[in-house]
Amino acid sequence: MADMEALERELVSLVQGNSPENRRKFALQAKSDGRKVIGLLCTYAPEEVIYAAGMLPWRVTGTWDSNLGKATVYRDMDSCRYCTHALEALLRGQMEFLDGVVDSDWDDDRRRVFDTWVYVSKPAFTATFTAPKSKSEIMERYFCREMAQIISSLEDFSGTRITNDRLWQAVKVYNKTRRLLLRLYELRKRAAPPVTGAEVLGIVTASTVMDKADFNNRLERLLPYIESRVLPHTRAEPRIMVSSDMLDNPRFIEIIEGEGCKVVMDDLDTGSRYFHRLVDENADDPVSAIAHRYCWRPADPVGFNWEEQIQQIIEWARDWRCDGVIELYESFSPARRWRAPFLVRELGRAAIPLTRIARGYDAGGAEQIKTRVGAFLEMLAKTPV
Amino acid sequence: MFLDEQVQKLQRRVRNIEQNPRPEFLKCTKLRYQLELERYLHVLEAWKQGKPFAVSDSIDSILQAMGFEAQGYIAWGDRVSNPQKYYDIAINKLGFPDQTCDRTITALGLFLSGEVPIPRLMAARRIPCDPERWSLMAAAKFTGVLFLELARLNNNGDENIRCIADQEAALIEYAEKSVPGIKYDESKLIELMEADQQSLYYLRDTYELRKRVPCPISPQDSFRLMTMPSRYPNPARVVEYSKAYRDEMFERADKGIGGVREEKLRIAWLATGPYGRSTFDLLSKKGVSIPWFHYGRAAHYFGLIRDDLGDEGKYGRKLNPLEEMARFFNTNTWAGPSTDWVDPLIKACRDLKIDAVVDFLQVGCIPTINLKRITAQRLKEELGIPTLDLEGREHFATEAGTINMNKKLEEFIDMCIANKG
Repeated sequence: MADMEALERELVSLVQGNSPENRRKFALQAKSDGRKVIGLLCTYAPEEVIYAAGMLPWRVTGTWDSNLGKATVYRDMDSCRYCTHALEALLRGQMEFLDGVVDSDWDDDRRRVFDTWVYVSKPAFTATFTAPKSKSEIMERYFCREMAQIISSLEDFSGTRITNDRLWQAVKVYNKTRRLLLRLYELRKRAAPPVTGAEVLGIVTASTVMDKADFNNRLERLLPYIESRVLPHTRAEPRIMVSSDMLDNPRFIEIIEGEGCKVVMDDLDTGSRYFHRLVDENADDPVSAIAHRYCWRPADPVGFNWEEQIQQIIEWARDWRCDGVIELYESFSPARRWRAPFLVRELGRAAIPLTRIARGYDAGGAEQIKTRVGAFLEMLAKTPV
Repeated sequence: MFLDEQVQKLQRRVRNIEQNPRPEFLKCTKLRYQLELERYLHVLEAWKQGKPFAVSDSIDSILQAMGFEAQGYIAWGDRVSNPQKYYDIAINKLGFPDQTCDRTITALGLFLSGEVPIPRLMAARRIPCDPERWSLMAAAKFTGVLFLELARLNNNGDENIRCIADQEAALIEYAEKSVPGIKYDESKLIELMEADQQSLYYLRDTYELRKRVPCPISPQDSFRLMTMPSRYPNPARVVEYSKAYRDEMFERADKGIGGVREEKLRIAWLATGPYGRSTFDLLSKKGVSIPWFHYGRAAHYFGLIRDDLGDEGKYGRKLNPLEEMARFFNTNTWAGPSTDWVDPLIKACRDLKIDAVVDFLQVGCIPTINLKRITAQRLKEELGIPTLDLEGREHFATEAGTINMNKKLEEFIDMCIANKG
């Protein structure tokens, strides 16, 4: 029993890895170990190459509170809230340990926050790349070449040569993370999943700020315990998938689950989209293998391939036996707003119930979300199976 | 119907110029309207004959070299007389966003209204300007039109040019396979690009003129974008117009004719021109010249970025025609990194003795709205000139919107004139 309690405490600690109190600790630890820390604003950043340079890739999380007094000097309130909250954190001096920042051309706003980031903080290292949103061999070749440029810049900056051996080592570590997270997600297919959706989001986002090898050790140790864990939810609770972007605060999932459902799957770039697809460890060249993985990972709403993105949601909804999908879109996410009529149409054709609920980046407005989720669950209860 | 309305409007404009010529405007504007008229009549005829249309936000020349008829999209949306009708289709009926750039929504509504041809193919670049490509995507997805993407890439250089050219080649191959009768003609593409380049050279000649005080161009004419010959049924006539435009500008400058009666202030205007005549009239009344209109293509068109057709300097080799298109594609500074946008602006303001800047921030335009502080700070720090953040729309819901916008602009102008002493 004592062991179980210790494991439960260890699980809670991992779930809280990306909380405001904890996320800096991993970066500061890396610094005290003599490693550089590189902030990432995009989940398409090929983390393996940064890791292979001996640095810590550290995903930027914005402030989770609603005070945006500093960032709004540079940014309009009606724009991507992740970008605004991330900039707020930077301007408040909460990321003074970052040695550099890497970002992509994800969308118009991401480019703008990167511009502002560089303008105000003048980091020692910066790199940008083209987020590979078109799935084609042409784009993959180009991404490979961009990765080669980033590797060269990182070598200059770190003074460490990024050899193929180092890259393959990094690939092994990262693939292990992906396999472990897939194992965790498989557990959610059970009729009574042993983890909540909020816990899972906490775990995945913890992996984005921790050294992956440390994370792997911790999750690997915990998985047997999680597999045997029993949560007190009823079997009648609807099974829900949550779809969003840059959602890194588990509080949102807690709010949804608090209304009487199980979030058993997600379509999140901080969740399933982050780790699905492995790098081919048997390929000849590590750079090409890494590039291939990032180019062909599950698609995001900013990409061109709306059909593929929605097909992916449908497949996941079926595989995880979801009763409905909640698109918890960030209010100022233009990609999702433009895609919405198409999503509504296609999920309707697939007979998968959907509700779309706006959210901010901080978890204010919880009552609104509760009301909407409650109405959706009521609707699901009346829907004949 | 939209196309008929445009024909009637342009016929009216040509008649008005003939009957009531206004000395402050360029005489060659009549030819411009005639070319526009010819283009709309051509579209109507091609539609009647069932010819294949294609829509693109960036590669019209390639599409035409394949035998498609070029169809306007955003530019057509700009010209609707009853925007509410098209908002209703896109926003109220289908649920597209109501807080994005209204140009992209109007264009989508028009496209889905049935008043314009349904093309066989739509092609959009990935960036810059997300709403524009999402609008195109939405139009294609809701009509079942073949949609192809072209990714503009983050880092500019030889690899970039090759990658875009590869994408163009893939697009051509796919279109040839998918649309009967479509066949790429490289010589046609070269011909169109050469015509565009010739027009561009004529326009570029006028940059030096814009340095003169008073500026010889009226505010309204400053906002007229360059006419790309490749987008018209008769490119040679458009080149003639570009030459006439340049010659007339020189003639006015030589005679000391200003674009406004008494020039009191020289302004650079950013991003998108104001919509509606009241703003132009205000600028003229106040004696405000606009020597520089800073839009996505301006830096290249006016030679602040030298990267022209056939130039072997930048890449150290001769580019093939598709790579030349890629090069052209890349000279657009719109919505790219902030330095691409602000560096040439600073140079133009310095060259053209600009007193103040108006940053026209269209609701929903993220590339400009979230760059405004850096733009204003750099202009202040590097040139000591003030910037007005002027929020506007293409279509205000009520007249009060335009009145308030103009009031804010007028106060800024008065302040700048007073400070100039």
